[in-house]
Amino acid sequence: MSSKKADIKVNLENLSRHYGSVAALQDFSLEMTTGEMVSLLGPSGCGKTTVLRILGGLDPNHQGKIFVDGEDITGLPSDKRNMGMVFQAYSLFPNMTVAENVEYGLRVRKINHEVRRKKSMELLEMVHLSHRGNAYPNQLSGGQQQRVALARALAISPKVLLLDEPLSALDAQVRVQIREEIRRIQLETETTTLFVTHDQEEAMSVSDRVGVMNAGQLEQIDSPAVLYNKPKTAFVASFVGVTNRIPAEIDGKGRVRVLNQKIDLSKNSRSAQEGEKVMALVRPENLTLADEFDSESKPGLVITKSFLGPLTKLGVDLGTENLVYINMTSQEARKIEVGNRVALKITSEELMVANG
Amino acid sequence: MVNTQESATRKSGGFSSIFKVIPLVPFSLIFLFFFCWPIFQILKNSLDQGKGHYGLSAYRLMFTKPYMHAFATSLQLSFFSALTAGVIGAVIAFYVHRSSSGLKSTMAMLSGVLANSGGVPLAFMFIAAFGAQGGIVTLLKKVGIDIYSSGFTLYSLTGLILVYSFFQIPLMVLVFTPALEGMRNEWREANNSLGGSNLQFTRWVLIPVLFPAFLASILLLFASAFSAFATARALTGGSVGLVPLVIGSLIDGNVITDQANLGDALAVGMIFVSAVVMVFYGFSLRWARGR
Repeated sequence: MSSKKADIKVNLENLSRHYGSVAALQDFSLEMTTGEMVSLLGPSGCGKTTVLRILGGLDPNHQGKIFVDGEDITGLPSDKRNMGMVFQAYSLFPNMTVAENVEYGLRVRKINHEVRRKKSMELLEMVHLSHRGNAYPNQLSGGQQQRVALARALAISPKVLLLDEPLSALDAQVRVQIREEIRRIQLETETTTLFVTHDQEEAMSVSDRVGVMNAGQLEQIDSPAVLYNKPKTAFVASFVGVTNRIPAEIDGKGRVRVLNQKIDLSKNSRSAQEGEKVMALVRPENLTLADEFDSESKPGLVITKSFLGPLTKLGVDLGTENLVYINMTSQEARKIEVGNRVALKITSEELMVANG
Repeated sequence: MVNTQESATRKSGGFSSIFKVIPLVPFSLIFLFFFCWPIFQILKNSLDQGKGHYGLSAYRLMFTKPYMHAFATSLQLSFFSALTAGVIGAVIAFYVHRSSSGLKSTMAMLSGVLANSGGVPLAFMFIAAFGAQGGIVTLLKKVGIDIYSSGFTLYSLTGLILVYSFFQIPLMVLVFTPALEGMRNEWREANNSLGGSNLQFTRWVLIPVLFPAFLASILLLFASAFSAFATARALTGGSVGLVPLVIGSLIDGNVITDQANLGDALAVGMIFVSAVVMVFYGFSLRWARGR
């Protein structure tokens, strides 16, 4: 990566947008470095698509500034921003062949036909569709259409590639295949990419950093591993990965009493008063079966057992509102059956809590 | 064993095929008795020269100047009214499509009513408005505009095009709107993000995508105008020689000796023109759906 290219970055500063009285985005800031792939993750209506559309110039922002390569592009129309976009719905022009679709951005730039054709063939090669250059969009599968849309977006050598849930209309197997292809191409072309999705597995598997959004605000942005292991808010802890919510009580001295154990409260956890009833947020892999029923474990009944290949998930009834899930290797789980009594222990050294 | 199974499968397949066909029987009977049978009768009568003789004399007559002129006038009227109403209707449909849902449903309802309001009442409505002593003509005269002095008359081909537009424009709005509804907003946004202007989008995407549906709609309007009878009859009383009016006059009894089957031959001619239009209409629809 050249040093000049390394300077290019996206700065979104304090963006806000309202739909009537509803705030879709509030004081949202994000910085992206060159060649970085950032995903925005969050529930429906959290504002992630709004960010992408504002960056692409398809929707205006009511407050804040947008900088690309250090240049303020806040008021610039979308056709002057040089950003490639892949949409959730299939968006190829139906009257054009695959090759013509890929060439479109170059055609509007009045690039010579030979150069256009050469570039489109290179990109179709990249998405493994060079043999379908003369096909029309309706002759392609959904996955193929999205690959062509990706090639079309990349043809203009965009400053930023915007992916608006491009895999959500595809079936599970194709989705995995295409997301890996997107990441490969993104790394190959070193294109700064903003990827919006509601699928956390998708976001975690392909991104350099993942931003979790809630109610128009960015709750946390970090690498997938940090996000999963060190969530900064209870929302992130609950939203990313599977989290058990187990009734607990604040024990003073910065500890929480849960499943008959006393565990340190996470530094990121909200402040709580002694004796306050809360919900401890515990990942399934941070629970284990105790060897014996003692005062530092909690007994329960195995209600469900789901085989997940190398892992098996047990659902244990501890007498709380919801089942508590625990992951263990399928080898270990062989001796456990539904209906067995087991004792659960928490293995993590600190816990985050949410309101009870 | 295999053969028995195959035979059983074949039998059950046969039964299921019968059940699939049964719902089509009423429609097939209607099609047979109210479409195929009349066409056959018209075709047969057009060849019937009386006393058990069959020949092409009616067709020879049909190809003479007065009747060919009637066909030319009918085609001219259908072409220009379809084109005028098609263009105006498409523009209205485009703006309605981009408007609020309330206006959309109101326009859909209004178009549905107006598209079916041809015939004698429409003709008299236009006579009351645009006839030589009509309300609008009188009003225009008062402000110094005399449209009749410039050669316009409602009882002419131009007048008929004006009147036909009244039901053709809403018909166009009705049949063209679904094509507009099929336009995806993502296409425009993709064009913008790729650096394309609105003009480039219109030229390279919008028009090519909508053209087959536009053509299909125009052909439908053409067919509708070509076969319209009551409005033209009430308005012109036969002064403009259109094929349906000529056939009407032959049915009414204005028959020249030995030309009893001329009306049938003209009807066959109309069926032929309609069939050609419908073939093109089918191609246009397939072209549009292929997108």
